[in-house]
Amino acid sequence: MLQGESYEPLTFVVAEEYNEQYVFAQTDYSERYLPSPGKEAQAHPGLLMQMLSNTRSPSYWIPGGIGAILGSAQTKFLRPAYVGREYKVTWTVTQIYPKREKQYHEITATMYDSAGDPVMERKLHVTYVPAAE
Amino acid sequence: MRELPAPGDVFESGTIPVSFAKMLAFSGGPFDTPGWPLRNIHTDYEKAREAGIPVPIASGIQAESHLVRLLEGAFGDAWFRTGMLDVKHVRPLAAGDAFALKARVAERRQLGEGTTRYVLEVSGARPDGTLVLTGTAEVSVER
Repeated sequence: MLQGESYEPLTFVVAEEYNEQYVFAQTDYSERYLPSPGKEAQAHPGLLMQMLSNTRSPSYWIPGGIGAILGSAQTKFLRPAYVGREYKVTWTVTQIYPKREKQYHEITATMYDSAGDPVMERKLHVTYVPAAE
Repeated sequence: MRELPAPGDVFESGTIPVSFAKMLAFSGGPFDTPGWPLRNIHTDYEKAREAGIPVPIASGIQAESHLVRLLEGAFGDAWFRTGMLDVKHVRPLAAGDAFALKARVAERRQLGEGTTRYVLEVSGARPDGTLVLTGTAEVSVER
């Protein structure tokens, strides 16, 4: 991918069972993430951050023998997301820069709700290295 | 109404064990995916070895998610509307590891009437003190 290029966007619905999978994975049984009568369950932040990984784009691909390493990430939480609602994620390579003899891609991932309002933004700093490294 | 934090206050997670079962749940994709789990360096020994790693490692996002839990516990709903997290992953975690997270209030400033912005230093370390992540967090609280 070159600077300025975008991955294919992803549209998905936060499934109740998948959300509860993150509740289990994080041992985070806060009532905000669990369904209850008259209240929407909030999407778990682990699920949301995972869905903003560029590996979730339908067009994500790296050649065999190459590994992708997430070195750092900046995340902005802009509004809560909810189970059962649809969201769209976009990814753009916003910068390519060298650091400690490696080339890093800054990938800006943004999640939008169905009204087009941003829910979460993550700047992912990813480097690609030979698998044996 | 919860008491607002002050500079110097520290929030701590306590010890968080890293288990392969929870790595699978976090990084394996939905349980009902045919052929679950998705095979990657977080869920599969062979994929990890192909990548030059002896055993699967926990996703850095999983550690970040624990950090969000700590900050949500400290700042409540405000975190999900104004929270900002800047995290550098220093070392990976594998099944059988344990780590603990810490967030220290470094700065508190008024942004306007009724709004306070907090800056926190965040870190995660194994029980022997080896750093696994470091960074900063910011959040605005209305009062």
